Amino acid sequence: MTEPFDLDQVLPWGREAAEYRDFFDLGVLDPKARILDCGGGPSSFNAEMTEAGHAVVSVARSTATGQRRSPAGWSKPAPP
Amino acid sequence: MMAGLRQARHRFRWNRFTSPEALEQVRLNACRRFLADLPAGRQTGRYIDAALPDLPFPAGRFDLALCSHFLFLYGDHLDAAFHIAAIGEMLRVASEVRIFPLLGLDGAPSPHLDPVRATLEAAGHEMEILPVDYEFQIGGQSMLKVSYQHNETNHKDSF
Repeated sequence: MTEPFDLDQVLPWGREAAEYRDFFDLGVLDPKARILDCGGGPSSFNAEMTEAGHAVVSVARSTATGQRRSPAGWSKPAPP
Repeated sequence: MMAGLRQARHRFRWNRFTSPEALEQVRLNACRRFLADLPAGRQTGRYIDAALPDLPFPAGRFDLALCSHFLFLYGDHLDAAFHIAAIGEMLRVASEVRIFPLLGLDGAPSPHLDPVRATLEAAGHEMEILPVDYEFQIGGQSMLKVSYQHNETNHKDSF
């Protein structure tokens, strides 16, 4: 069950690039900027930014126990 | 999860997302898009199998490292030492680090922020808490921005 990115274990709760722009006040990004996304879970930031010509690498495994689905399903409190 | 969200809805500001259902749609769509991109992105090295606090990149590989909804938010599971190690590692591979949000899942300011700040500042890093145009967790409209200060005393070991 510790297989990297065990999709059954990942909470299907992604955030989008427009949100990232606001979370991090990204403004107008230089397309040459080399960006790393750490622990972002199943977000579409990398997919959307790549399509827009940016260079993004995502570290796609989360150690956050809170972001894993528990056998009984998600328990409170809910993630934002 | 949706039940938990509905129960806790008073802790969130429902303007960007008008309802738990609207939020769920955005979250599921983003997840679908991620999943669709994952196979190709893995092949081209855009998705790397790794996890904080160990990043398999050389020093200075990135200009900007972002950490969304992981540090501070899951502060009940991750202690201050983990936060300090994780931020130190991001500063090793990137010249600037931005983290959002700075609240825990309970909606309260993270207790790890003060020890993190003390350690980063003692190591000579420049740290700012800046307002951002995003508030879903009530009171959560701040991000942490840390800049790597290139000087002799600032090595990863100083964390």
